[in-house]
Formats: sequence, structure tokens, C-alpha cells
Amino acid sequence: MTIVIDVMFLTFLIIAAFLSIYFKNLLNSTIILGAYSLFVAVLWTTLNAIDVAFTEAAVGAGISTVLFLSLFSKVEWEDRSTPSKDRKIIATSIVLIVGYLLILGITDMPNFGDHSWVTNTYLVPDYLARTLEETGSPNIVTAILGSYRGYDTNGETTVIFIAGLCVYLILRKGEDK
Amino acid sequence: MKGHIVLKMATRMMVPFILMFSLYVLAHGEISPGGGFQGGVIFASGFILYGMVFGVEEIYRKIKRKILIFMTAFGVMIYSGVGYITMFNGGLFLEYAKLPGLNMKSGNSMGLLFIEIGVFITVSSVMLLLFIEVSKKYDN
Repeated sequence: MTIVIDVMFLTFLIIAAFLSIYFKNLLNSTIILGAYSLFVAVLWTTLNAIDVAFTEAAVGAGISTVLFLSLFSKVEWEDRSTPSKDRKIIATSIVLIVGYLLILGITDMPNFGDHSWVTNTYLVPDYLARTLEETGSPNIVTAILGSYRGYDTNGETTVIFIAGLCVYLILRKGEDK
Repeated sequence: MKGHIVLKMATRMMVPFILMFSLYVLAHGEISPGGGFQGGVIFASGFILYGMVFGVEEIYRKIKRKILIFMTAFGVMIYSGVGYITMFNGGLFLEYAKLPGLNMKSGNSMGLLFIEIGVFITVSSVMLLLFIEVSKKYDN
């Protein structure tokens, strides 16, 4: 039963990714990208990555779609560029080469849920055993993000702060002195 | 569509629940999926819904722009402040076990809550600031 759902949502994912590039109207592409994020969120849920699914649904399907849509009040949202034939050939060949390399990479990936794979044998059981006892937090993702990797999250928050401030300064350029 | 009575009433009813849900996600980040980042984004989206229906300038009437910019830095300050408190208390940077008056387990859960609040404040105010500044009309 799960395989049916997986195949269905992966098919939707490919269709959404294709359509978001196919449309010349950027308004359509933005809506399709929101749907793409929603399908990815569902797939994360079937993989039991609830935290990632939550973030994907909130940021990918929610905030970024709204930001794109509100951006269209300031910029042109019709793509009128007509690429030349040479550029199309170059782009297609690059896509094919990179796609071939990615498929080569997939063959090295572990099977889904493989217990004997190297990342599942020494680090994951260690965290699973230690986290509740050391931090008292049943949600291991939060414990790792906040406690074991607290420096990284501190840096992340600082990056969000600085990025937001920079965008604000650019947008308000020349408005009030 | 803007200013439609059904849209206005539905937004008035929904926004408090969205904001409350964001605080729930923040407070329960330790025991269930979620945390500061997701909660902050949901908090911002509640205000964004309000702004989309009632006009973007209405948000600045609820939260002043200066306060919003101050909040973006304030969240980072809370996060780093927890680290400095543990440092001055004899531990390492962000060593929650050294928070004053707490042992390893309770210190960790309190420290996690404090840093999540810091992330929440920064993320929500940055998202809100970006949305308002991108979508409002130039007034000059």
C-alpha cells in the first residue's frame, strides 16, 4: 500500500517540477512550486521525517510562495526571453550529463531502512540511547539541533538575522535618510 | 476581493488560532515535532494573512517597524545570551548543564526552551519584515 502512495506522489512531484519550468507565466510557476513543496512534505512524512515535513510545508508551501507572489507587484512576471538554439543544446547536454552522474550516485546509496549500513551502526544508536537520558527531550531532532549541535543553530539564527537585515536595507535604499 | 466581508470575518476568527498554534509548536518543540523555526514561520504567516486581507500597512499599525527590527536582533541576543550565562557560570559556551540553579536534565530542557524562544523571535520578525517591505507600495 505504501508503495502505491510513494509512486503516486513521486509522479506528482515530477509533473510539478516539469510544469514549474514549462510555464512562461511566473505566477503559474510559483503556484506549482507551492504544490511541489506540499508533495515533498507528504513524502517526508511517509519517511517519518516529521520535523523536515513541517518545515517544508510551512516555509516551502507557505512563506516562500507568499513572498514570491508579493514580489510580483514589483517585478515583471511574464518571461518573454527567447533562448537561441545553441543555448538550448548546451543546456540540454548539461542536464543530461548531470542527470547521468546523479543516477550513478544513486547506485551507491543504501537500501531504505538498511540496519547494517555504516551510518546506522555507530552514530545513530549512540544518539538514540544517550539523548533522552542526557537532555530529557523525547524529540531527538530538537535535542540534536539545540543541544549537541547548539553552535550550528546559533550560527543559523545569526545568518537569518543578517540576511533579513541585508534584504531590508536593500529594499529601503534611498527611501528615508 | 480585498475587503470582502466573508474574508474579513474569517481572517478575524482564524488569526488568533494561528498565533496560538505557533506558540504551541514552540513550547512543544521538545516533545513533539516542531520547534522555534517552524513556530516562528507559523507566527509570521498568521500576521501575513492579516496583512493580505486588511492591507500591509495595517501590520505596522499593530507592530511598529522599529520594534520589528529590534526583535530580529533580540532573538539572536537571547540565544547568545544563554551561551554567555553558562560561560560566566563556569561552563563552556551553551553548556546548558551550567545554567544557574539547574542540573543536567532540567538545565538542558530549560536551555533548549530559551534558545528556541530566541530562534522563534528572530525567524518570525525577519519573515514579517521581509513580507511587509517586499509587498508594500512605494509611498514617495
